[in-house]
Amino acid sequence: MLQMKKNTGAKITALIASIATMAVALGLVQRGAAATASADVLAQTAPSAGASQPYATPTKAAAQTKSVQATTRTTTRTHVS
Amino acid sequence: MNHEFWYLSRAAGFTAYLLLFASMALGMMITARVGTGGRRQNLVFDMHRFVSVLALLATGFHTYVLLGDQYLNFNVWQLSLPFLSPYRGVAVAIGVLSTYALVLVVASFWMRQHMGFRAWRMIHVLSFVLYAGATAHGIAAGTDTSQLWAGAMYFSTSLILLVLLVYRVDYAMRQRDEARRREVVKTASKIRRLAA
Repeated sequence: MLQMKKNTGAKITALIASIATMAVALGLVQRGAAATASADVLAQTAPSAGASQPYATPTKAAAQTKSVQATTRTTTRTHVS
Repeated sequence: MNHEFWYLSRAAGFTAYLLLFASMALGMMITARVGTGGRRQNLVFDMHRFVSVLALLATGFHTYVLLGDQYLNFNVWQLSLPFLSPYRGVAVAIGVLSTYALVLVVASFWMRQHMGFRAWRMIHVLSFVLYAGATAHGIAAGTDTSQLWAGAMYFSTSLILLVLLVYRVDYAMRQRDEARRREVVKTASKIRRLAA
Protein backbone atom coordinates (compact mmCIF):
# COMPACT_ATOMS: atom_id res chain seq x y z
CA MET A 1 0.00 0.00 0.00
CA LEU A 2 2.84 2.33 0.92
CA GLN A 3 4.61 1.36 -2.31
CA MET A 4 1.45 2.12 -4.28
CA LYS A 5 1.19 5.54 -2.64
CA LYS A 6 4.84 6.18 -3.47
CA ASN A 7 4.25 5.23 -7.09
CA THR A 8 1.25 7.53 -7.31
CA GLY A 9 3.44 10.40 -6.19
CA ALA A 10 6.06 9.51 -8.80
CA LYS A 11 3.39 9.29 -11.49
CA ILE A 12 1.98 12.70 -10.61
CA THR A 13 5.53 14.09 -10.69
CA ALA A 14 6.08 12.53 -14.13
CA LEU A 15 2.81 14.02 -15.36
CA ILE A 16 3.70 17.50 -14.09
CA ALA A 17 7.20 17.17 -15.57
CA SER A 18 5.67 16.24 -18.93
CA ILE A 19 3.39 19.29 -18.90
CA ALA A 20 6.34 21.50 -17.91
CA THR A 21 8.43 19.99 -20.73
CA MET A 22 5.65 20.75 -23.19
CA ALA A 23 5.44 24.35 -21.95
CA VAL A 24 9.21 24.81 -22.31
CA ALA A 25 9.15 23.20 -25.78
CA LEU A 26 6.30 25.51 -26.80
CA GLY A 27 8.32 28.50 -25.66
CA LEU A 28 11.41 27.37 -27.58
CA VAL A 29 9.41 26.60 -30.72
CA GLN A 30 7.70 30.01 -30.66
CA ARG A 31 10.96 31.79 -29.95
CA GLY A 32 12.58 29.99 -32.89
CA ALA A 33 9.70 30.98 -35.16
CA ALA A 34 9.90 34.61 -33.99
CA ALA A 35 13.66 34.67 -34.57
CA THR A 36 13.16 33.34 -38.09
CA ALA A 37 10.45 35.93 -38.75
CA SER A 38 12.69 38.78 -37.57
CA ALA A 39 15.56 37.40 -39.66
CA ASP A 40 13.22 37.57 -42.64
CA VAL A 41 12.36 41.19 -41.80
CA LEU A 42 16.07 42.05 -41.66
CA ALA A 43 16.66 40.29 -44.96
CA GLN A 44 13.88 42.26 -46.59
CA THR A 45 15.04 45.62 -45.24
CA ALA A 46 18.68 45.02 -46.13
CA PRO A 47 20.15 47.01 -49.02
CA SER A 48 20.72 43.85 -51.02
CA ALA A 49 16.97 43.20 -50.86
CA GLY A 50 16.28 46.40 -52.72
CA ALA A 51 15.91 48.96 -49.92
CA SER A 52 17.08 52.40 -50.95
CA GLN A 53 18.51 53.25 -47.50
CA PRO A 54 20.85 51.20 -45.30
CA TYR A 55 18.33 51.41 -42.45
CA ALA A 56 14.69 51.53 -43.34
CA THR A 57 12.66 54.33 -41.79
CA PRO A 58 9.97 53.35 -39.29
CA THR A 59 7.21 54.05 -41.78
CA LYS A 60 8.88 51.96 -44.44
CA ALA A 61 9.48 49.15 -41.96
CA ALA A 62 5.84 49.30 -40.92
CA ALA A 63 4.73 49.05 -44.52
CA GLN A 64 7.00 46.09 -45.10
CA THR A 65 5.89 44.28 -41.95
CA LYS A 66 2.50 43.56 -43.47
CA SER A 67 3.90 41.81 -46.49
CA VAL A 68 6.44 40.02 -44.31
CA GLN A 69 3.67 38.71 -42.06
CA ALA A 70 2.03 37.13 -45.07
CA THR A 71 5.20 35.27 -45.96
CA THR A 72 6.27 34.48 -42.40
CA ARG A 73 4.31 31.24 -42.35
CA THR A 74 6.06 29.82 -45.36
CA THR A 75 9.50 30.97 -44.30
CA THR A 76 9.00 29.75 -40.75
CA ARG A 77 8.30 26.26 -42.02
CA THR A 78 10.65 26.05 -44.93
CA HIS A 79 13.50 28.33 -43.91
CA VAL A 80 14.02 26.84 -40.45
CA SER A 81 13.86 23.26 -41.63
CA MET B 1 -4.07 32.60 -40.07
CA ASN B 2 -2.89 31.43 -36.66
CA HIS B 3 -0.06 28.99 -36.07
CA GLU B 4 -1.00 27.78 -32.58
CA PHE B 5 -1.89 24.24 -33.63
CA TRP B 6 1.38 23.90 -35.51
CA TYR B 7 3.38 25.15 -32.53
CA LEU B 8 1.44 22.86 -30.19
CA SER B 9 2.15 19.87 -32.43
CA ARG B 10 5.87 20.65 -32.48
CA ALA B 11 6.00 21.08 -28.70
CA ALA B 12 4.03 17.86 -28.16
CA GLY B 13 6.40 16.08 -30.56
CA PHE B 14 9.40 17.03 -28.44
CA THR B 15 7.54 16.03 -25.27
CA ALA B 16 6.60 12.66 -26.76
CA TYR B 17 10.20 12.11 -27.88
CA LEU B 18 11.58 12.87 -24.41
CA LEU B 19 8.97 10.63 -22.78
CA LEU B 20 9.88 7.85 -25.19
CA PHE B 21 13.53 8.38 -24.28
CA ALA B 22 12.69 8.22 -20.55
CA SER B 23 10.69 5.05 -21.05
CA MET B 24 13.50 3.42 -23.05
CA ALA B 25 16.07 4.42 -20.44
CA LEU B 26 13.92 3.02 -17.61
CA GLY B 27 13.35 -0.20 -19.57
CA MET B 28 17.08 -0.71 -20.09
CA MET B 29 17.74 0.11 -16.44
CA ILE B 30 15.38 -2.72 -15.49
CA THR B 31 17.00 -5.32 -17.76
CA ALA B 32 20.56 -4.21 -16.94
CA ARG B 33 19.76 -3.99 -13.21
CA VAL B 34 20.94 -0.39 -12.96
CA GLY B 35 19.54 1.47 -9.96
CA THR B 36 16.72 -1.01 -9.55
CA GLY B 37 17.83 -2.77 -6.39
CA GLY B 38 15.44 -3.63 -3.59
CA ARG B 39 12.11 -1.84 -3.43
CA ARG B 40 13.00 0.45 -6.28
CA GLN B 41 12.50 -2.33 -8.86
CA ASN B 42 8.72 -2.10 -8.54
CA LEU B 43 8.80 1.69 -8.79
CA VAL B 44 11.07 1.69 -11.85
CA PHE B 45 8.94 -0.92 -13.63
CA ASP B 46 5.74 0.95 -12.80
CA MET B 47 7.22 4.23 -14.03
CA HIS B 48 8.52 2.55 -17.21
CA ARG B 49 4.97 1.47 -18.01
CA PHE B 50 3.39 4.79 -17.01
CA VAL B 51 5.87 6.91 -18.97
CA SER B 52 5.25 4.72 -22.06
CA VAL B 53 1.54 5.46 -21.80
CA LEU B 54 2.32 9.18 -21.41
CA ALA B 55 4.55 8.99 -24.51
CA LEU B 56 1.70 7.43 -26.46
CA LEU B 57 -0.76 10.11 -25.29
CA ALA B 58 1.70 12.89 -26.18
CA THR B 59 2.23 11.26 -29.60
CA GLY B 60 -1.54 11.16 -30.16
CA PHE B 61 -1.78 14.84 -29.25
CA HIS B 62 1.24 15.67 -31.44
CA THR B 63 -0.47 13.97 -34.39
CA TYR B 64 -4.13 14.90 -34.15
CA VAL B 65 -3.74 18.50 -32.94
CA LEU B 66 -2.69 19.13 -36.55
CA LEU B 67 -6.32 18.67 -37.57
CA GLY B 68 -6.80 22.23 -36.33
CA ASP B 69 -4.01 23.61 -38.53
CA GLN B 70 -5.47 25.59 -41.42
CA TYR B 71 -2.21 25.93 -43.31
CA LEU B 72 -1.70 22.31 -44.37
CA ASN B 73 -5.32 21.22 -43.82
CA PHE B 74 -4.51 17.65 -42.83
CA ASN B 75 -7.33 15.14 -42.63
CA VAL B 76 -7.50 12.14 -40.29
CA TRP B 77 -6.32 9.70 -42.97
CA GLN B 78 -3.27 11.76 -43.89
CA LEU B 79 -2.27 11.77 -40.23
CA SER B 80 -3.12 8.13 -39.52
CA LEU B 81 -1.85 6.29 -42.61
CA PRO B 82 1.72 6.35 -43.94
CA PHE B 83 2.66 8.04 -47.23
CA LEU B 84 -0.54 10.12 -47.50
CA SER B 85 0.82 13.28 -45.93
CA PRO B 86 1.29 16.22 -48.33
CA TYR B 87 4.04 17.52 -46.01
CA ARG B 88 7.39 15.65 -46.13
CA GLY B 89 5.71 12.34 -47.02
CA VAL B 90 8.49 9.88 -46.18
CA ALA B 91 9.51 11.56 -42.91
CA VAL B 92 5.88 11.70 -41.73
CA ALA B 93 5.36 8.08 -42.83
CA ILE B 94 8.28 7.04 -40.61
CA GLY B 95 6.55 8.86 -37.74
CA VAL B 96 3.23 7.13 -38.45
CA LEU B 97 4.89 3.69 -38.58
CA SER B 98 6.78 4.45 -35.35
CA THR B 99 3.46 5.36 -33.71
CA TYR B 100 2.01 1.99 -34.77
CA ALA B 101 5.02 0.29 -33.17
CA LEU B 102 4.56 2.36 -30.00
CA VAL B 103 0.89 1.29 -29.78
CA LEU B 104 2.03 -2.33 -30.09
CA VAL B 105 4.74 -1.98 -27.43
CA VAL B 106 2.42 -0.21 -24.97
CA ALA B 107 -0.36 -2.77 -25.56
CA SER B 108 2.13 -5.59 -24.94
CA PHE B 109 2.47 -4.48 -21.29
CA TRP B 110 -1.05 -5.68 -20.64
CA MET B 111 -0.99 -8.59 -23.13
CA ARG B 112 2.15 -10.25 -21.76
CA GLN B 113 0.28 -13.07 -20.03
CA HIS B 114 -1.73 -13.82 -23.17
CA MET B 115 1.06 -13.65 -25.74
CA GLY B 116 3.88 -15.41 -23.87
CA PHE B 117 7.34 -14.20 -22.98
CA ARG B 118 8.94 -14.82 -26.39
CA ALA B 119 6.40 -12.74 -28.35
CA TRP B 120 6.45 -10.02 -25.68
CA ARG B 121 10.22 -9.85 -25.89
CA MET B 122 10.15 -9.64 -29.69
CA ILE B 123 7.72 -6.73 -29.50
CA HIS B 124 9.88 -5.04 -26.87
CA VAL B 125 12.93 -5.32 -29.12
CA LEU B 126 10.82 -3.42 -31.68
CA SER B 127 11.01 -0.41 -29.37
CA PHE B 128 14.63 0.16 -30.50
CA VAL B 129 13.45 0.37 -34.11
CA LEU B 130 10.63 2.66 -33.08
CA TYR B 131 13.04 4.94 -31.19
CA ALA B 132 15.31 5.13 -34.25
CA GLY B 133 12.22 5.87 -36.36
CA ALA B 134 11.03 8.58 -33.99
CA THR B 135 14.49 10.18 -34.07
CA ALA B 136 14.61 10.07 -37.87
CA HIS B 137 11.08 11.51 -38.03
CA GLY B 138 11.99 14.31 -35.63
CA ILE B 139 15.14 15.23 -37.53
CA ALA B 140 13.67 14.96 -41.05
CA ALA B 141 10.14 16.28 -40.49
CA GLY B 142 10.81 18.72 -37.66
CA THR B 143 11.21 22.38 -38.53
CA ASP B 144 13.36 22.98 -35.44
CA THR B 145 16.16 20.55 -36.29
CA SER B 146 18.54 23.37 -37.21
CA GLN B 147 18.08 24.94 -33.76
CA LEU B 148 20.96 24.26 -31.38
CA TRP B 149 18.75 23.05 -28.53
CA ALA B 150 16.96 20.54 -30.78
CA GLY B 151 20.22 19.13 -32.11
CA ALA B 152 21.64 18.92 -28.59
CA MET B 153 18.54 17.07 -27.44
CA TYR B 154 18.65 14.48 -30.23
CA PHE B 155 22.38 13.97 -29.74
CA SER B 156 22.40 13.70 -25.93
CA THR B 157 19.35 11.41 -25.66
CA SER B 158 20.66 9.09 -28.37
CA LEU B 159 24.10 9.01 -26.76
CA ILE B 160 22.68 8.15 -23.32
CA LEU B 161 20.59 5.34 -24.80
CA LEU B 162 23.59 4.03 -26.73
CA VAL B 163 25.65 3.91 -23.52
CA LEU B 164 22.82 2.14 -21.72
CA LEU B 165 22.45 -0.31 -24.61
CA VAL B 166 26.17 -1.14 -24.56
CA TYR B 167 25.97 -1.68 -20.80
CA ARG B 168 22.82 -3.79 -21.25
CA VAL B 169 24.47 -6.03 -23.87
CA ASP B 170 27.62 -6.33 -21.72
CA TYR B 171 25.47 -7.25 -18.70
CA ALA B 172 23.61 -9.92 -20.70
CA MET B 173 26.91 -11.39 -21.93
CA ARG B 174 28.34 -11.44 -18.40
CA GLN B 175 25.18 -13.17 -17.16
CA ARG B 176 25.46 -15.76 -19.92
CA ASP B 177 29.14 -16.40 -19.17
CA GLU B 178 28.31 -16.75 -15.48
CA ALA B 179 25.55 -19.27 -16.25
CA ARG B 180 27.94 -21.24 -18.50
CA ARG B 181 30.65 -21.21 -15.83
CA ARG B 182 28.19 -22.50 -13.24
CA GLU B 183 27.07 -25.21 -15.65
CA VAL B 184 30.69 -26.30 -16.26
CA VAL B 185 31.41 -26.42 -12.51
CA LYS B 186 28.24 -28.43 -11.94
CA THR B 187 29.09 -30.92 -14.71
CA ALA B 188 32.70 -31.24 -13.48
CA SER B 189 31.60 -32.02 -9.92
CA LYS B 190 29.11 -34.56 -11.28
CA ILE B 191 31.89 -36.29 -13.28
CA ARG B 192 34.17 -36.24 -10.22
CA ARG B 193 31.46 -37.83 -8.11
CA LEU B 194 30.88 -40.55 -10.71
CA ALA B 195 34.61 -41.22 -11.01
CA ALA B 196 35.07 -41.51 -7.24
